[in-house]
Amino acid sequence: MTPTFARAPRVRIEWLVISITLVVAIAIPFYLEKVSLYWLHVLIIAYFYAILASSWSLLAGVAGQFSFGHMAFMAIGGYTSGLLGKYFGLPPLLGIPAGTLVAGLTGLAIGVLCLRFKASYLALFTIAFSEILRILIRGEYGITRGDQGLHLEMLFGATTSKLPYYFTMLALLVFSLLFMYWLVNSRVGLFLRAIREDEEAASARGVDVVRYKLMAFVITSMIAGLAGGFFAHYIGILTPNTFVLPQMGLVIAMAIIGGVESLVAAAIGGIIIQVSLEVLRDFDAWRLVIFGALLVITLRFARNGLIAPLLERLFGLGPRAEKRKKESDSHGV
Amino acid sequence: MLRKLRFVFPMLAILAMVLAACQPKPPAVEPTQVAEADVIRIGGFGPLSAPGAYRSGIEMQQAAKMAVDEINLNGGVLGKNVELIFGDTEGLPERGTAVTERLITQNKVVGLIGEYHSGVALTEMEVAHKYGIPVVFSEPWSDDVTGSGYPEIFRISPSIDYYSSIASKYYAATGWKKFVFIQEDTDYGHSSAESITKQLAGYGITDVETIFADPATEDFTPTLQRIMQNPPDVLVSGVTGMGTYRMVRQACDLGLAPTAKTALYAADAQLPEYWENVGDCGQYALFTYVGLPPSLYNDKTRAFLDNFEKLYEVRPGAHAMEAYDSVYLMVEAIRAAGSTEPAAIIAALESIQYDGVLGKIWFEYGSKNPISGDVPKWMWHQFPTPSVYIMQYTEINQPFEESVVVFPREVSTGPLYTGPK
Repeated sequence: MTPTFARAPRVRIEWLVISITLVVAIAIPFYLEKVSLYWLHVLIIAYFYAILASSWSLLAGVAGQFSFGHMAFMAIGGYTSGLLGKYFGLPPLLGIPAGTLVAGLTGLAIGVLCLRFKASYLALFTIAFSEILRILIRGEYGITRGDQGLHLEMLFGATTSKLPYYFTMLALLVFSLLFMYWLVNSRVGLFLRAIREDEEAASARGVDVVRYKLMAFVITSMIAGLAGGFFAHYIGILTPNTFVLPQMGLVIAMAIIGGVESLVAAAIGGIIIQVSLEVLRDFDAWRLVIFGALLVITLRFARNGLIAPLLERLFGLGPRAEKRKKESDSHGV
Repeated sequence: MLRKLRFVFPMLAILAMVLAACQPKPPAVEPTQVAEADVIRIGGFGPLSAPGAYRSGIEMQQAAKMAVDEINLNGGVLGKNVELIFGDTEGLPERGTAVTERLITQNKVVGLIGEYHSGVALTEMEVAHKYGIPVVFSEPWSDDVTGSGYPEIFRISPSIDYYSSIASKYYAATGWKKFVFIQEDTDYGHSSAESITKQLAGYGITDVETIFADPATEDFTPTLQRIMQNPPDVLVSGVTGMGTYRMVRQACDLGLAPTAKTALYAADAQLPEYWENVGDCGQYALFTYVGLPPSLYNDKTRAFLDNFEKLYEVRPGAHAMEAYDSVYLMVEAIRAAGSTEPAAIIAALESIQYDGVLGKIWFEYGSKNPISGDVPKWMWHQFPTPSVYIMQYTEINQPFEESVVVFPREVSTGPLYTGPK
């Protein structure tokens, strides 16, 4: 009976925190729309980066596959939707799913080529892929408009209100987190963690290693493509600068500072860093030095990030908490 | 103990971030300390960090600050000091949107100046248009910037179409008929090739071959040897940086250009490293210069360059001159309007005549003189004669300051073309 009583308040705290967070997230844009459209814009972009950081953490932290192509898949989603709109008149509501699909198919093609090999090959290949894609988009100026930017139709037409964009990006974040959470806690998640820990051992126990790695890669590519499609139709213009490698580094830093093994922590890391980058904007380039230092401190002293340990402590979430619980259960027996 | 530390470090790091976020913000460019009610705020934007072209952005910020300091030393405007708040757009469109939103809604600026990247400018102008705040763009080249026709948007840098038109007008004036362009395989290379080919066709010049090359190409010899079989009237190297220097050297060594038969155009020949890389082969090279050539400097240009060099120990590029003039234009418009109301500033900008470091600046087309007929859309609120010149080195090791302005002819300082005998 003791464990049941011990877990009950924790579950209530979890739901309380989630409920309060959702209420604040739903209420805050109405306030910001009146006092500061600037901060509303910052939050929309922060949610966008939260989707990218959490989906990258699924790939790197759960499946153990280190990719530098996440921003490129984001760009594929955006450019596909934009180009389909420009040349075929496809509306954003059809262009975004098409972009998501193309990002997934590209992920599939890259995955088939690389995921049979060790993780370092994927990292190298995705660096090369991102750069090739960027050069291609810059070079094919006649089609993509290169550095001058590809204009895209706004998702909600002529409306100047940011509220529809805010709620759509929030919904995308919540649903992508719920989907990834379900995936991580399913058999697939178990296999992915087994692959991350020891590919050969997982294979020896009957896990189809390549299939599950490919599945994780395609799913995260599609999530990045979906986020990219919406982002592009919110900003209204896409340039190759959006997915240069330092921007990929920013997404990785968000996931690592949040906690790469926890989807929620990575998402919170994305939001905190994006908001902090804006708050610290007056420091100019020094804000990047601050975040560089923070990243180094995190890697050295908090390898599971800064947010994940807090979530563990507050809610008993995360792999280490589960491990401790198993240990205490076995001692109890 | 270690376990406790693992918990303590994240807490300390988050606390540090929160404290950093909450502490008073230092001003970006040390504006004069004055009471808030006594200042007129002007917003600036440009890339101050990667992936943007931050070296140029920083020079623009420094030049804009210099202008504001001078204005304040001379009593400010409308009895108030001017404060510049400059935002870093990082060369990213979404940051451009954020910075512009912030400058307008948080910092309450009455006008905006700057920007380097066209892709970012196109998002910034949407925000400025939404709030009706005037913008003088200093450096973005996209035709769409002023082509939007927004009442708030003004530009003093050239549009891509204008930039290409100077070269094509020059080529038409020389009477050359056969052209080979070796362009870099980038956005710049493709867009300028596309634009100039179209414009040359308008002059009846159709014998134009365009070859695209990686700017990092070490050996252009195979391409150049093929061109030698049927030499053109002019070989145009549209590759920037070291690539153009390698091509100039190799074309010269092969005896392809510059010769009595074939003239040579070399991008980036205005840069200080040109002569040390091309040696004697650099003589007779033509190049385009965006900015004011030394022979056209006025007193303001010389004073600006000297002061800038004294303050920041570097000779600034044309983008810095444009940012400096943009601030003065905005302030002069406020002075002429006698108000900080956006509509009054816009009306004043439409009729402004300002003598700046770039020479006389004005905007020919606007609400009082709408665009009509064949006038391109981008001429709306566009400074009609931005600084784009065709220049030529006529001597070996000729300093850039002494190079000859060959086009436009009304400001030229030498013959249309000087070639080897």
